[in-house]
Amino acid sequence: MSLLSIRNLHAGIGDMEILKGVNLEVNAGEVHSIMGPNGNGKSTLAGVIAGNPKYHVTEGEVIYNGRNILDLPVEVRAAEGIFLGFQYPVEIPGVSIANFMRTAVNEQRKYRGLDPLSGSEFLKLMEEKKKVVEMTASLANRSVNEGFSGGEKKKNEIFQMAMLNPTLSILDETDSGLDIDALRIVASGVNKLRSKDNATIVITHYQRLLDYIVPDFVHILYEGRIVKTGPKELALELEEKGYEWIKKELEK
Amino acid sequence: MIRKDILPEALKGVDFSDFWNDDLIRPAEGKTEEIQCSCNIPNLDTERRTIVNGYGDGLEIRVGERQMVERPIQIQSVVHTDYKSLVELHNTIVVGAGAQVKIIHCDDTIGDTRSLSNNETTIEIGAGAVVEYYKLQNINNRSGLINKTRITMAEGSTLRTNCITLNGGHIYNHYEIRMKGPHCELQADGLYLIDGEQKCDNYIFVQHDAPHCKSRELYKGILDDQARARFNGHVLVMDGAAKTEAYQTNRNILLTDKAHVETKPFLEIYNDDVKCSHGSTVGQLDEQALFYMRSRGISERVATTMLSYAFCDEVIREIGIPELRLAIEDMVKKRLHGELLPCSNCALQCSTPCNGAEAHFDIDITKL
Repeated sequence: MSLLSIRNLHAGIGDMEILKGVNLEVNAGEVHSIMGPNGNGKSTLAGVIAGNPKYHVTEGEVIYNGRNILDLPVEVRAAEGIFLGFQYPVEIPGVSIANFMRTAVNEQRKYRGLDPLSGSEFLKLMEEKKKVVEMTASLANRSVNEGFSGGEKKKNEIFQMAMLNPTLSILDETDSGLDIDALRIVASGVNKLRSKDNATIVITHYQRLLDYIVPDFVHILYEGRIVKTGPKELALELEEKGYEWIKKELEK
Repeated sequence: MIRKDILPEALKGVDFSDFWNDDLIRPAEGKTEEIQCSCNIPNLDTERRTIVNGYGDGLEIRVGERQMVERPIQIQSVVHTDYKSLVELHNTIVVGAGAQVKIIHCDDTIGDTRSLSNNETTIEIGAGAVVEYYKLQNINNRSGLINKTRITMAEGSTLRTNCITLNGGHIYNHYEIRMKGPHCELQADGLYLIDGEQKCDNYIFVQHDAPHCKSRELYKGILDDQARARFNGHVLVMDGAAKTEAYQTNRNILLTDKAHVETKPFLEIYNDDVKCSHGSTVGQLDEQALFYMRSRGISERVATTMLSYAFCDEVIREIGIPELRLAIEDMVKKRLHGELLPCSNCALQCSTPCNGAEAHFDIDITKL
């Protein structure tokens, strides 16, 4: 059984349909990359899986661990192991990262019937996971993403992923706005977290990130549908020939 | 029946008519004896009074010139009575030139008996004096509170004041602050958290008479259910007040579409050489931030509370007494969780005064 199975998914904002019948199967242990021109539904797909209330699903289903998750609230999907790395991480002035993460970790533990982590257990976990993305700053007094550089925000996303240890991670344009050093750190963080039990969907516009996070499958999302699926070489071909090539292929 | 003329101009359009129709009993008639207002003034040679009558009486605090009062003074007005009561207190605080003092002024009720407090406090701040004056209001839902505060500031004095409204049927806070000499600094903040049928009005008038003075106002409020709030701020810069800096901000979050807020920041300026700004906002919690938090597994209820607290933090962190700040952080968090019992676990321990006995006013750090 697949970890994630998306069948004929139609979704949009208001009256505008963005996803027009997406099909996707993701198994545990796999890394999938979704590529495609801007404005063709990549972020919408990520948002729908995570449960962003902004999008309305009109047709189809998203089966995760054998269960249709479309009616589940956002926080329940998260506690079930779905993580969304945001393209634009939100700034939350007045909420420290430590407090934010401790609340998140303990809320997820509560959902799973586990006791909350004590303060010292939590601090230990946090120090350990900061290393995944080479974070050095003290997080206790910093508000979530407030005043962070683009690179710090993305590192913070992967740090949160490490803290929450999700089963399915969807990274939405994690590479956007990153210089090459930050990109390497972020990608290496993601690779450290890979295991045979979890899966990652990497959404990206450029092939560059895939030099570091090597996908098992590359999908091209175009005009609300996955129009082409291939091995990692597809990303290189796409980089070389450009998205115009896909358009011409489709017209044939 | 209560005569309307005993609550004079302080009302300024605030409708307390609910209370007019009630047969509130004047403590002067001798039927309530447990109204208490007292203060603890450590190492300070000053007048100390305990009021068990509560009508037309009040408290006087005098801080001598250059006197440094290290421990905060707490004034507690606790209405504790079995009868529907009217309380009137007139407090006077005089701070001598160059002195320093921190004052915490709590308004509480014990029990849910209906009461109306009409309190007036006059504060005179001498030249170069540094004063912190905190108001903490936590009265029952059936009671009203009118808090009128008149402050004058002499040359080079500094005042930081923070008015925190945690609970109350109808609370009206009225400040009139005059900066009479040059180089005064004022920071006046406020926070109101109201729900149900509660009402809270804040009126603050600041007059800049002299040059080189600064004033900053930051009022924030969160309104739930059908709560109603008003902010009415007025900064008057006189023609002699060159180089004035005055900033006025009021921000509100409405958690429901039935909550109602009216906000009116207002600057009146008669000098060209000033820096002034004002602004107000009324909105909801940030939807994006809510989704972000929920996507990490935080339930909507907890995320809402955290974001609400984060909104309040800007005001709370300005509280200059660390123990008080922690206590208020805790009370605000509980209030946002909907758990606040009137002052039940307040570290300030003003919930258990007994008639005639000297109340305990020190901040109990072990409770924090």
